[in-house]
Amino acid sequence: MMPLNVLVVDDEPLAVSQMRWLLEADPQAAEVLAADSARSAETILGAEPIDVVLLDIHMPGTNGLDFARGLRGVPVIFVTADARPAVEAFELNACDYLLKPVRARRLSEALRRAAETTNTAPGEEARVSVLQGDSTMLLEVQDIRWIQAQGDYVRLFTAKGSYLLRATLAELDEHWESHGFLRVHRSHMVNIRRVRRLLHRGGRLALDLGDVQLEVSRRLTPQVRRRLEAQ
Amino acid sequence: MPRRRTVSPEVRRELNQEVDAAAQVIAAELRTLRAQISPHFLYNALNAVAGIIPQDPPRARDLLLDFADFTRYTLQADAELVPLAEELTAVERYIELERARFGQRFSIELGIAPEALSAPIPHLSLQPLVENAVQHGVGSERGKTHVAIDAYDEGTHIVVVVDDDGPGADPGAIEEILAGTAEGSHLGLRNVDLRLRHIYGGAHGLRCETAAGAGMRVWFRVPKFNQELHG
Repeated sequence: MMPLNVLVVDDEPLAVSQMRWLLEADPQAAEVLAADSARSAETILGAEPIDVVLLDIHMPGTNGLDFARGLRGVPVIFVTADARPAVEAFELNACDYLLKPVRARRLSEALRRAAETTNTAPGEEARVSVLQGDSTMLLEVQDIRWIQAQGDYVRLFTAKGSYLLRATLAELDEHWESHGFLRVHRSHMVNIRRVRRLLHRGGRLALDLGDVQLEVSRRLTPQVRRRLEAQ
Repeated sequence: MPRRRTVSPEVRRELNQEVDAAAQVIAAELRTLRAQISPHFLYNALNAVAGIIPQDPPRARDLLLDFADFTRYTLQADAELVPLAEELTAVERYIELERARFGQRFSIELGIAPEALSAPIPHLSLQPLVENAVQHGVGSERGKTHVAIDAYDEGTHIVVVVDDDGPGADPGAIEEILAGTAEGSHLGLRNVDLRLRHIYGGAHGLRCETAAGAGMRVWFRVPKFNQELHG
């Protein structure tokens, strides 16, 4: 398995240095980056290829749980001295929940789980949590047929209905490519396994998903064609 | 800065009427609340020591000794009243441990009148007030705080004050927490208030002046001579 680039998010310098020390001794970890707040973690995630986030919960500003709620496509391992938020953390699809001080063996086990998530072949086990009324639903990513941008949200269309997710299309574009999603237009992405036909209409390309046809933007046509023809 | 409001004893009495029936409940609560140290603090302190071991073993040893002294003090089962000086030593140990975790994110200023040092105060009556100030200060959006601890002589009594410039709280919420009608993040204050009133009578409870965004000042006034010191 490829070693993982790890982002450690913790406001306490000693907690970070201990984690670095543990990670340096673990062959599963490649590069280790650190952030002392959710805000600086966001900046790093936007600029660096991070495979897993080790996340503290009690931090000034945005706490770890709220930060994880907005994260897409990167496995999260919570690392905290507080056992109480564990249930909530797992509801957020946390990969693991480690209690400080952390044992090297336990960290290693958590990294292995994260690596499995990261290396999951598209179509296996990847899920996303969406709000529906007052409950949270877990949606198989592969059940999503196409995605439409709606301001700060995206609408995920499955065979059974559609669901809102707080994320931008640009974020999904970055993280869901490995799940077989492809940006075909400024305002939509498509699950390429769900494309039945390519329609050529007077020089423009459109994708037929059975019940819906999605127009491909002129700018993205060459790469969409390349990707679909490679299937 | 918003104006602080004094948490009124009248309101507290009123709120207390419903729970007054339960002197035994309070006694039971005293037993369970007494000398509780926060597990969150304990494990974070141990995590900081673990973090320092690889880089500076002698400093780690010093911190571990601070940790031992502090926990030994907090676990004294038979201590009801202790000289202020003894409680201050425990507060210093506590500050050392938090300093390792948070570095320059909080500063402490001590203004203790020498004649107050030998005065008896309830075991663990000052330390939770300092912990409350530090925790809310470093956990706030700003992430740092200044805490002033003062003790002075008033003839037959001494007054012990903890004043911080942290996030403060809604005075109404603190009134409810002190009255036991609400739960919240300042439960340590209720613990101290209950014990003060249990030992010295209703007039000697904890006083609090605060407002959201305006820091918090908590203080108590206890007699210097009317109780014999244990041990």
